[in-house]
Amino acid sequence: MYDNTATIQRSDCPPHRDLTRPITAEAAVEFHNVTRTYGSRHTHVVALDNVTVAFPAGTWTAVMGPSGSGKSTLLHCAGGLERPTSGQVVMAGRDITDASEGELTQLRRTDVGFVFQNFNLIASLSAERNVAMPLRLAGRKPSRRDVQDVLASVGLADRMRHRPRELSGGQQQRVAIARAMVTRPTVLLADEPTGALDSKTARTILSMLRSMVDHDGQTIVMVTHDPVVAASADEVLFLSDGQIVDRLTSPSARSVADRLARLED
Amino acid sequence: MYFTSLTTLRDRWQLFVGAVVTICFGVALVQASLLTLIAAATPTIPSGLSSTDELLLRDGYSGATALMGMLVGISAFVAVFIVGSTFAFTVAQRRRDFALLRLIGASRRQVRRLLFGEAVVLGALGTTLGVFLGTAVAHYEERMLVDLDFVPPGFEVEWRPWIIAVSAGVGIGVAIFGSLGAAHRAGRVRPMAALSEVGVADKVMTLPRWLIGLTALSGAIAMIIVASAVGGEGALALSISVCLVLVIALSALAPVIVPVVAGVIGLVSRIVLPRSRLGELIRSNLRSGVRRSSSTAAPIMMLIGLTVGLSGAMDVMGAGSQAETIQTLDGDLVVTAPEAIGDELAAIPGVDVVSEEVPVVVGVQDDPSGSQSFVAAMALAIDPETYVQTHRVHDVDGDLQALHSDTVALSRSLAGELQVGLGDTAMLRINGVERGLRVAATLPASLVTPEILLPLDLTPPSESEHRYIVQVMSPDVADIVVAIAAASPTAEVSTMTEWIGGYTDAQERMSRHIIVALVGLAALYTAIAMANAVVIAAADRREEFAIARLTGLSRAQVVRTALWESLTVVAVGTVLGGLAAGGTVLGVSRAVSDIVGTRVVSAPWSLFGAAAVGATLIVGVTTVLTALATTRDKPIAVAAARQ
Repeated sequence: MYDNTATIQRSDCPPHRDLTRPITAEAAVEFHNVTRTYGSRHTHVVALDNVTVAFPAGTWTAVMGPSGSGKSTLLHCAGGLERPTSGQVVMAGRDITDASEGELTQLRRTDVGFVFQNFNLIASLSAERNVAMPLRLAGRKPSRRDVQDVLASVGLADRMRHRPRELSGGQQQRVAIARAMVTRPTVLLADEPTGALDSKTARTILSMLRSMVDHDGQTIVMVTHDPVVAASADEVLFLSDGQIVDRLTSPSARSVADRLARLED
Repeated sequence: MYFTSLTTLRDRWQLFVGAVVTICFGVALVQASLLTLIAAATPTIPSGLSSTDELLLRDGYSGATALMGMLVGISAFVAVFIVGSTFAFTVAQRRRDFALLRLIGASRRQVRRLLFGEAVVLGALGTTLGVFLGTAVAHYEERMLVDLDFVPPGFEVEWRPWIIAVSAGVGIGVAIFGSLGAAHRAGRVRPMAALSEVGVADKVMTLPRWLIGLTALSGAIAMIIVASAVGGEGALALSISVCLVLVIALSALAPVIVPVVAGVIGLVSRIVLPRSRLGELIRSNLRSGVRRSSSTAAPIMMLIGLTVGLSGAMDVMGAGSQAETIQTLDGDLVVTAPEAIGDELAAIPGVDVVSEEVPVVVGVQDDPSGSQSFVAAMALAIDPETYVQTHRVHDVDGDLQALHSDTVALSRSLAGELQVGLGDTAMLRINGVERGLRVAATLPASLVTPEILLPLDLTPPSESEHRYIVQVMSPDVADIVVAIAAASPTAEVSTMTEWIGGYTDAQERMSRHIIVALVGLAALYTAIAMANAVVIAAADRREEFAIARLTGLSRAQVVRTALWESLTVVAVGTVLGGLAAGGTVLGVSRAVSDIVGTRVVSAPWSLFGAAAVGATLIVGVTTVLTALATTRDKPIAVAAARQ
């Protein structure tokens, strides 16, 4: 298995922070009083307002809310793509709030996998090479086997040599998921992963993600606006004006839709 | 890591081909000019030449060396400029690709290294092609120098194997240098940039860009001021630098200027074509595509600035020397003859004053510390009494009338170079004999008077042309012309106006040839770069065009929109290039006006127009062709196959 703690050495972190004792051992990602604001004094926008939340390891959390509620900002902060204005983000027990650019690069190589609505594959590379890319960037020589296995696990064993343009949307998204999973990340961050897919393909993708959580203990944080999609998760967080205003465990499409409707009133 | 870069070749071939083409042409230009420069600087002078012929031959070679020196400078500058701008553009075009790499774990250094490796590979490829193209360019330059009469017909540019090392250094070096800034910027691309659909527009006006632009601008202004203080030949050399520095300044500041000018043009078009439905789209495309517009405008600016600026400078010099000739000469007829006919002329009834002047090539010691090397200089042998009657010479120190036997009059700048003053002795080689001559007078800066005046009795009877400025008493000049023809069948007579006209024409022809020699190849290079920039820009717009068509534009409208955008960019480039040229011409004009004493203005409008039309045609045709090519597929297919 991969050793996540090896990548960011403790000695790299500033000494004033006590990192010897993880705040919550079983959380993959934790937010502690995270606030993120944009703009200057005149165009002040609070995207996240003092958010404290934990995403437990091996669970799938859906984040919902009206547009502008801070869903994407939350996801970006969780992946180290954006720095909180204040507060702390802790990943697998390590504070990443003030991580250097180099440490964040390491983080993206080992701890975070991203999946997006628009797939974001490298158009000129075959499926196989797209999947191998994160390993290559990390300086590891990916074995053909590993890459094949990951692609097979998303059901694309026979599409290895195809370029993105030669694949359907669902297949492209599966390549993107394989690419995100090839490094066995601590957390998989998904932003509307089924947003560009038809409902049948979306169901396949969702059940794939479900089995990754159930069988491999993968942690997933997913932003969506679709109650049906959110219903696949273990827990749903409702965001409004940058704050977590509600949460729902064991959601169904109907219960999620009801809460959403109430939120918008 | 490099395989990523190379596999992107399939999708982004336009970018790579563009980079290779610019490097190839740059290498060819620098290599050929350098080889030709070396050939001109190390001439083989055949033995057995007369002293004067040898001096003349050496003078020609040193003129060729000076010309090639400037050409090497211009070539190197244009190469760095064009390659740098092309690389910056190709990187900007792939911003989203780099962000994506960063997102899946590439470090900044890996992105930089990727671009560095790319620069080396593309530089090596461009160099290889450039070395071959360079031999062809060298042949062209060889012929050019012969045609310009700088060097004798047998002149040959020798191939030197070590030049390959230089060319490789230039090609790869320029590629790396050009990609340095771009690579740095690419390394700083934040992974977030991959998340937005269009890719957050890169901040175009970076701090270094502001610094470069403003420094170059103030430098150019300072040089214009200095040029007017230096005057004379110094001003022409300086004007080339002014021109290049102004082009740097304006192209660095282009992203600020392009939207402003585009806005003005848009406003005008709204008034002229109030019913244009595409105007809004064109304007907003120009605003959001500042990088694209600036990249296309850069070579246009270079073309216009360089050709119009330099030829304007030459024109001003020409107009200045014409004005000075008219002011200086005080005579009715100019007679030229292969032999001395002064006495015959003076004997003709009605002829009042005959001033004989014979151009002579002399050697001046170019190093006053005492080495024995002499360089050729043009001198004029005169008779001081009649000379001052037929030439309005002001501001002479010493006494021109004292120019008899072992004396000489020098221009003040030459006297300064030789470190001699009034009454000192200057060493000159006349007809193969070294002589010490007392400086009887020093002359003010001039565009037409030779730097050296000698007394006629000092020069041997020479085979060179004799020229006579003749003043007549009788109003019936025609009779006198007939009488001169009768007295000396070999003489050619022209009125002062005719003579000045012919002299000016000859000068203009010469300066036109020199301009073509200096900037012809560079202009061709900029033309290629323009087409290049358009092709690179279009490579990125497939999706944008497809979406525009899905929202209701016809294919023809998309192409038309792209065309109008390009034409606006051409207009911007032309205006800015015109500004650079204008600054140059202004600087030279002030210097020349200072020498001549009256205001001399000359603007090469026809060349300006020709360059603008050329740029319009190249950019327009390339835009239409690439827009047609990028809209060939059905828009729905393109939009559906995002990625």
